[in-house]
Amino acid sequence: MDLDKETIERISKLSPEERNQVEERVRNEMLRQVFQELVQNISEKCFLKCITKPGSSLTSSEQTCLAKCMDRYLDAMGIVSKTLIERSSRNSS
Amino acid sequence: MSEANSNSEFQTFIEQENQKAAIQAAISKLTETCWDKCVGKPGSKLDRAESECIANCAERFLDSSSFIMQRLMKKQ
Repeated sequence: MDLDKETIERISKLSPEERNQVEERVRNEMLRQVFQELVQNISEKCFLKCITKPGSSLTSSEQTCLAKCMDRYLDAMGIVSKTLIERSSRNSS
Repeated sequence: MSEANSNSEFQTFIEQENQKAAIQAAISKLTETCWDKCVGKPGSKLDRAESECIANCAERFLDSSSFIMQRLMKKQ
């Protein structure tokens, strides 16, 4: 996200309250994007794992697989985050 | 608060948000890559081998990209 001069000038004219609102909207927008990407990634990965032969409807065993897959994907993401945090504290100490 | 001051504060805010987004993007990318490499059929939990594989995968991916980066720099 890069700000052009005009945007910076407009933001500088806002009251503190208005600026807080702008910051709040930026934060929400970032969260929305992170969430959207997560949904997209999980859908893609778990579709590939669980729906090997798409039939006329989702079977209950496919749904069970999707549910487990989603939970495991979030676990995997947790391991990655933890690993990155440990690595950055190792590098800075 | 002076205008210049509030401007630089806002720019700091944007820089922090950008940094957060970069970290999120790295986590997302690493998770995708390491999921493909390490996880088999989704079970009721990740088993020990899968968990270790994911942690190693994330570390080695970062090692690999810094290795590649250094090697490219040398070539220039």
